[in-house]
Amino acid sequence: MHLNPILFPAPRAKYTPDSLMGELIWIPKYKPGSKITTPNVSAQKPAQRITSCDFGRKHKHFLSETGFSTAYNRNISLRPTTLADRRREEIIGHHVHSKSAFSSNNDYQGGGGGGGHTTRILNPLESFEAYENVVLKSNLHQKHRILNEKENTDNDPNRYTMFHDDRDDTVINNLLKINHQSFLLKSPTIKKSAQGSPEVSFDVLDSPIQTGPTFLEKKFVKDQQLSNKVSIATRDDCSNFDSYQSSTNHSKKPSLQKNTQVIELSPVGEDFDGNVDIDTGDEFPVQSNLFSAPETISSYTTKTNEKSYLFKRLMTEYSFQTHGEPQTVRKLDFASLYRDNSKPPQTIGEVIGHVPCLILKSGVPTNKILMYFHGNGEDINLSYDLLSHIRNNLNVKYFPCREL
Amino acid sequence: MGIEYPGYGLYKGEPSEDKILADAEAIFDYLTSELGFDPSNIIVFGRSIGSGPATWLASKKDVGALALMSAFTSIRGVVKDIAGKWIQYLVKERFNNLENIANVKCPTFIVHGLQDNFIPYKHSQALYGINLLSIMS
Repeated sequence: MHLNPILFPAPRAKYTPDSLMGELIWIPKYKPGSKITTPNVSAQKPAQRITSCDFGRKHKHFLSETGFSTAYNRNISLRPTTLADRRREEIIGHHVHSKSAFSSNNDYQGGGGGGGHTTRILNPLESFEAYENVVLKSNLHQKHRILNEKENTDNDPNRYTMFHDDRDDTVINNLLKINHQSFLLKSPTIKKSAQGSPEVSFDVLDSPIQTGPTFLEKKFVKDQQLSNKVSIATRDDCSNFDSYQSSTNHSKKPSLQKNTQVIELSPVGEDFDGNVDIDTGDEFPVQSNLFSAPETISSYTTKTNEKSYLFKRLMTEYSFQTHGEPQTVRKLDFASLYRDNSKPPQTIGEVIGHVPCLILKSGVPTNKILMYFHGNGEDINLSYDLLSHIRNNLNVKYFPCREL
Repeated sequence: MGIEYPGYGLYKGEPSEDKILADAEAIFDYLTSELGFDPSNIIVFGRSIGSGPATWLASKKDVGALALMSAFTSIRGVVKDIAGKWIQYLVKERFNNLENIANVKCPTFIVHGLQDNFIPYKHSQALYGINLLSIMS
């Protein structure tokens, strides 16, 4: 009994190649019997293998020799991802050490209540962290809440170098955090005291704070452009994104993308058509929840983790921007589909068709890929929410087992 | 990576077991031979009828892991539960997961809703049992 139409009730196609912009890839299907020469993957260095997140495609002949059709995959950019090369870390925080308490009557009373002259006494080895050029669009209460949620656990003074600065009356900070309490600074200044040691004076919510000799904790140079493009991505962020995805009518997603602006990630690159695009970096909007957290960045010490961290943040930014008020949609640079170090693919055969596949780029660099076969009554467009949820929440780590 | 079936979405054609399995193998070969993915880094995930090609692929290739959601033992098994014992023989056997999963050696994760009225969860229990036996043997 021929029951295929009953067993495979295909829904009507509700997506087009343009609606899944940059995420629809047509994989060639070869005629049965075609010789497929599989390269020796194990002979390659692990770091040079292709990953699902960083497809470092550089060779154009890939297009003609693998059946990767530019006519089908016209929304796929082949430019390599260079986001990690764009980040620099900058000033993150300062560590202040006070040898003696200053003349003061009261501790900080908080909240700027009364607007009087309030002085904060800093005990020896009491630390604060200052944040420069922090862009916070939330109200003051939210700022304090955000800052107080973060913990400063690094109080080792041996890690810090003496801070010598000959500048006078230089504004360096906008926000100050002292022992998990945050203060809004109006006019932070650095002065030289009579003894020659630098002193820091801050106006904190109409109340000045004076400290003793200042120690510089670390000095990072942060790419301001990049910091404006990224936001802190946590597991909650990803979950929130998924909830947004689920709450949004999926059929509206294509129309959202049509009315939005496409932004490329790579600063300067050349796509497979030979067109050179220049990314000025000014097209990325500043997010309202943007905040540079020194604790978070300093916890990512290795290069790999930093790269993962940046990718995660960037991908979350992309995710959030596609909801609410659609402003921009970043064109993902998936499909630099090639290994940089190996020979060109040697699979030569007659292409008899192309299989449309939905490819969702991982937010975290990984060398793993998940092949998803959807159920009946759905297609890859209807599977978008589930796959997006998996992408954001399935943190697959590879731990090689040791033989005992 | 979500894989489309023939006749679904933009993929023109008539859906059938053979075509779906051929596409699954073609894409797997493309990932490994063209894109250089190590087979052990490929996770195969099948949901409902997608458990058919997923299990088949995992039984044929050395994939890294297999995940099944709302899987069935076979199409005939589903018809048996829905239409009855005798009606099942009117349907050609397709996607015999019960047979294929015996050859799956990779780590397998199976999830099934207890209140699934279309595909009873006992299908997944049967798959789990067969898979466990094959691994132990």
